[in-house]
Amino acid sequence: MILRRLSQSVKEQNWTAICIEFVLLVSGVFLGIQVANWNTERETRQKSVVFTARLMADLKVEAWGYEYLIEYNKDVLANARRALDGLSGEKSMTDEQLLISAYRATQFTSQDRRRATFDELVSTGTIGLITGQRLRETATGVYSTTLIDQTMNEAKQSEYRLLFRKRLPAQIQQELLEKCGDRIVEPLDYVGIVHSLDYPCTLDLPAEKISTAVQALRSQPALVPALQLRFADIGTVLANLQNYNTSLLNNLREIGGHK
Amino acid sequence: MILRRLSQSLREQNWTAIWIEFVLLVVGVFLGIQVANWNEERVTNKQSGIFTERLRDDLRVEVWRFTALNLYYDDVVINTKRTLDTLEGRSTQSNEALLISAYRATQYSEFIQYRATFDELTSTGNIGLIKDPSLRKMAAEIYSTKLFENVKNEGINSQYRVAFRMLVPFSVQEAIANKCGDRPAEIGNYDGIKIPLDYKCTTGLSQQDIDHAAQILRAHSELAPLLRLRLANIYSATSVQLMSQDVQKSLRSREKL
Repeated sequence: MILRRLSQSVKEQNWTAICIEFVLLVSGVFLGIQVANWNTERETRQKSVVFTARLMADLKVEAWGYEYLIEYNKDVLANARRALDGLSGEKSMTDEQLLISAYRATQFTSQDRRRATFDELVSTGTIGLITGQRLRETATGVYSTTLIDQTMNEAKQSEYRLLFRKRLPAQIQQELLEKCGDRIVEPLDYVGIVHSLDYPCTLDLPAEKISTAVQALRSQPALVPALQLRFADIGTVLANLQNYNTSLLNNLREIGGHK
Repeated sequence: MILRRLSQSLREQNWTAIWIEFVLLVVGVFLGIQVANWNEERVTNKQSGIFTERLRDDLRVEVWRFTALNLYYDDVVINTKRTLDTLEGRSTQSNEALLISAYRATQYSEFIQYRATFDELTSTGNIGLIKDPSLRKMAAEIYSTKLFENVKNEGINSQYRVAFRMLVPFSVQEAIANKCGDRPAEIGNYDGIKIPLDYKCTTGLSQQDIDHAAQILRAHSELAPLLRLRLANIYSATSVQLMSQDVQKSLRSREKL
C-alpha cells in the first residue's frame, strides 16, 4: 500500500522540469565557483604585472650596480699594478703618482642593494607572480650570490689596506680621500661609473710631505707582499664577476639595456 | 527554482516531493562543487607537469656542476701533490712546470646554484606539485647541501693561496693566470669540463723570471706544510657524507633526469 502510494506520488512529479532544474543547479554552482576563480585569476594577473614592473625596476639598478662593481675593481686593479710597479722600481713615476695609486689600491665600493620587491615576493610565497622564468632566475641569481658581499668583505679586511691606513699620517690620508677618492655616481649612470676612481688628480700637499709618506710605505717590508695578495685577489674578483656565471651577467646586461 | 518548489511543497506538506527535491538539491550542490574540483585538479596536474620539467632542467645544471666541481678539484689535487712532491724532493720538474702546478694548487671554483624553481615551490608551499618522491628528495638534498659552499670556503681561506700570492711577483702570477688559469665552460657542456685546469700550457715568461719565481717558492720552507694542509682540507671538504647514497649515485650517473 505504502509502496503503491509512493510510486504514485513519484509519478505525479514533473521529471522534465526536475531534470532541467537539476542541470541548472549543478551548472549554477559550478559557474559561481568558476566566476569567483576567474575573478581571483584576474586580480592575480593584475598583481603579476605590477610586481613584474617593480622587480624589473629593482633589477635595472642591480644590473647597473653589478657593472659598477666590475668597472670599479678594474680601476683598483690598475692602481694596484701601478703601485707595485712603482714600489719595485719597475716603472718610474713621481712620488705623488705612487702615493695616489697606493691609496686607490686600498679602495673598495659598497652598494645598497635593491631587493625589497624580491624579498616581499619570497617572504609572502608569491614569487610565482613573476611569470617570466628568465626574470625569476636572474633575480634569484643576483640576490642569492655571495660574490658581491664577498668582494666587499675581502677588500675591507685586506692586510694591505690595514698596513696602508696604519702607516700613513691622517692628514695625508684625508687629502687623498678629498682630492683623489671615489667619485659619487648616481644609480643608473653608466657613463659615471667609468673611471670613477682612476681619474687624473693632484694633491695639494708640499713635495716634502709626499716624499716622507712614500718613504714610510717603502720602508715596510710587508707592504709589497700584501699588495701582491690584494692584486691577485682583485684579479679573482674580476674573473668571478665576469666569467663564473656568464648567463647571469648577460641577463643583467639585457635588463639594464647595457650590452 | 528547486528551492521555490521545495518551500511550496513544505507549505502543502507534500513529503515525497520534499524528499526528492531535498536529495536533488544536495546532490546538485555536491556535483557542482565536484565539477569545480575536477577542473582545479586538471589545472593543478598541468602545473605539476610544468614545474616538474622546470625542476628537472635546474637539476640537470646541478648535476653538471657536481661533475664539473669533482673534475676541477681532481685537477687541483693532482697539482697540489705534484708541487708537494717537487718541493720535498720526491720528484723533479722544470721550474716552469713547478710554477704552473704551484699556481694551480691555489685555485678554487666559484659557483651559483640554479635554484629558482625549488625556492619558488618551497616558498609557496607547492613542493607537493613534484609528485616523484625521488626527484623531491634529490632536489631537497642538492639545494640544502653544504658541500659546494665548503669546498669554495676552503679555497678562499687557504693559507697556501695567501702565501703563494704574497710571494710570487704579480707579473708572474698574471702571466700564469692568463696562460694556465681555469678554462671556463658553458653550463651543461660536459666536453668543456673534462680537463678544466690540468691542461698543457706554457707561461710565455722569460727564463730569468721563471727561475727567480721558482727559487722563491723552493726557498720558502712554509710552503710544503701549507700544501699538505690544503690537500687535507680539500679531502675533508669533498669527502664528508652530506648527501644520501642514492642521491650521490644519481648525481654521478645522471640518472632520473
